[in-house]
Amino acid sequence: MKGPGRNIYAISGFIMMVYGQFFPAMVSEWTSHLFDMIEQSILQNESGLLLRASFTYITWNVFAFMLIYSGSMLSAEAVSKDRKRPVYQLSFAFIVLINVFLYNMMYNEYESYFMHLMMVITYLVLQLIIPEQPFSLLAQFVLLFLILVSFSWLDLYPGLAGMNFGTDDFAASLKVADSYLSEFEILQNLSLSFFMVFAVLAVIFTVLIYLFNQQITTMKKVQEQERELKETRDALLESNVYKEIHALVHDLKTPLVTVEGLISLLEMKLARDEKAVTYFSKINSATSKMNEMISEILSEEIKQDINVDDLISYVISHINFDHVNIDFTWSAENNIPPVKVNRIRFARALSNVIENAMLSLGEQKGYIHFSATNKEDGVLFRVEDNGPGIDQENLKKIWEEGFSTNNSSGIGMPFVKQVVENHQGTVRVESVPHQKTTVEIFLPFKQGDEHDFNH
Amino acid sequence: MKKFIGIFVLSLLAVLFGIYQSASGLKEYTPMWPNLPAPIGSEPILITSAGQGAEGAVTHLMVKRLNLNANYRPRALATDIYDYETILIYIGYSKNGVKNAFRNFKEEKERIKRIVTFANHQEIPVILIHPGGSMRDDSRTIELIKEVLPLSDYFIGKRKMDHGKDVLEMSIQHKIPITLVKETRDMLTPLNSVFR
Ligand SMILES: Nc1ncnc2c1ncn2[C@@H]1O[C@H](COP(=O)(O)OP(=O)(O)OP(=O)(O)O)[C@@H](O)[C@H]1O
Ligand SMILES: [Mg+2]
Repeated sequence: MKGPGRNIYAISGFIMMVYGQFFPAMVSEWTSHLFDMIEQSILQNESGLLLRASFTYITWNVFAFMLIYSGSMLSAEAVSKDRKRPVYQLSFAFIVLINVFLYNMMYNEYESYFMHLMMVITYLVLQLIIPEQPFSLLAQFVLLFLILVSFSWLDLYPGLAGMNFGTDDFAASLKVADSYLSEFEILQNLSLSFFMVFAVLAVIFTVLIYLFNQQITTMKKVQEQERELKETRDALLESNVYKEIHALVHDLKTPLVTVEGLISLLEMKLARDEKAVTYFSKINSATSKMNEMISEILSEEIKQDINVDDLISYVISHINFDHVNIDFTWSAENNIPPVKVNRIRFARALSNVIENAMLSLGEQKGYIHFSATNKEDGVLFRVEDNGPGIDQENLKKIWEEGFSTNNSSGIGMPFVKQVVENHQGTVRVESVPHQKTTVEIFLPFKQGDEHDFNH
Repeated sequence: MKKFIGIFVLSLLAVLFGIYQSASGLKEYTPMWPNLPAPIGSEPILITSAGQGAEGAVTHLMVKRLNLNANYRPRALATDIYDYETILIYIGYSKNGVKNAFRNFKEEKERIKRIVTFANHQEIPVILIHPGGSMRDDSRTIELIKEVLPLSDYFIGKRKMDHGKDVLEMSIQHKIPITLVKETRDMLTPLNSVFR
């Protein structure tokens, strides 16, 4: 346990104990009222009054000792935070008994140590069941309260007078009075029933707290499992996005491997030509450099300046327009300054958008228009088609990984979004089915917090 | 298992406490006298308290039940006894009662001692009654009994009480008649025998 926490417990415990000790003195008016009530009940030979006096006594008693017990509990907590350890248990008992001793000394009272010891043991046994949890302190207070009320009633049980129960002043007064007034009829029944009721309440309360805590633990476990599930799902989808990249790596490396293979064949054939050998070693180093560059380019952070015209032709050159009935046009404004992008990833994103439009048109006749316009602070890429479009309800879903109406992987649009956002751009989709569907990608010229890997 | 050690130790302590207490007291004593053979008191009676227990009023109820002429004046002084023929003293120390009477224990003891001495001087019989028994047998109550018993004429108490032996021996030593009863209402018979 941390130092400051320990001090707070000790100090507040001490304050409570002091208040408890001085409680009878602080409420001396109440005390003397209680005295009068008992005397009057006898003088008027009124059992009803005696009953009221008994209730007042219990309240009075519980008040005083609730403070002392709570204070002792907090102080014991300062010694050991674990209420299930003997250190805590013995400290608590010791502090309570010391308090009872001081109380007896201070007021010439005859509070029974035996009774308080029994109370302490009852409390310690019950609280073994109460698990440690954030609000267990409150539970402890309630438990203490119930035990105190229950044992205070036992104080008034005449049969236990010999066992040194209820030897304090008011309890003795009430019992002697009742011994004559009703020959213990009243107190015998009253005290025993209230003792039982509150003892049972204390046990029920403990069990409830226990069950409640069980439930909370299960709930926490379920939540934990749900979180783990979501995490694995997210990880899975992320890996889907990276599949896209892997495909790219693969796409680019395949022709390179072919080149490398063919060159090694040529090398063997022309091994005797010295000039050729030097050329070949140059070609080899170039291809291996290219190999490295591919891996580098695929890394997200690498961006380079590129002309928008070049970017567009790069995109278009990778799209297969064979066998389609589509009227594809593209345009780019002349005055657009170069943009800084990860060429391969950004081009891939753009071609994804165009491919989506093509897919939506399918065999139908239709148009796709691809344009780039200068918006002063950035470029606006726009892909427009007149295909079946996207239903209003699906417009949001297209950003979810795995959503596809084409029985495909459904990671195109999420990939687009990821790439565009990686370039600090924005992407927007609007659709009027069968009339016009547009995807707009805005790419700012200035991207804050850039990692410039350009040499 | 470790968590039961503390509780085990405390339970052991409780058992020891219990054994100690049952060994130290609470024996039943058979009455020396069932009641007085001949009345010794007459009316009017002054009922006062030694120890100011709120339950002292019970004595007043008893006397009323026996249709005896009495005044209940728990805080009476020695000078008040002239008007009475018998002094009946309820014994039971109550810290709240003494405090309520704006006294301390020493003053209370002095007061009651003066009353008893004065009554002896005036040859007014002094009857002690202690219905508290084991419910009111703290050390201060016993101290009060020991203080006034030798100077009194009759002691009515309960059979069940700690220090019962001391009281019994003291009464034998000073030749004070003593009657010990079981229930509080049983005190009515010996009390009646004082006057009729
Ligand atoms: N231009 C468009 N016209 C009509 N629907 C579109 C258009 N663009 C996207 N969509 C809808 O959005 C869905 C999600 O597109 P996304 O690119 O994410 O997945 P996909 O193309 O189905 O599969 P993948 O691109 O992974 O092969 C598509 O299935 C389609 O229903
Ligand atoms: Mg797609």
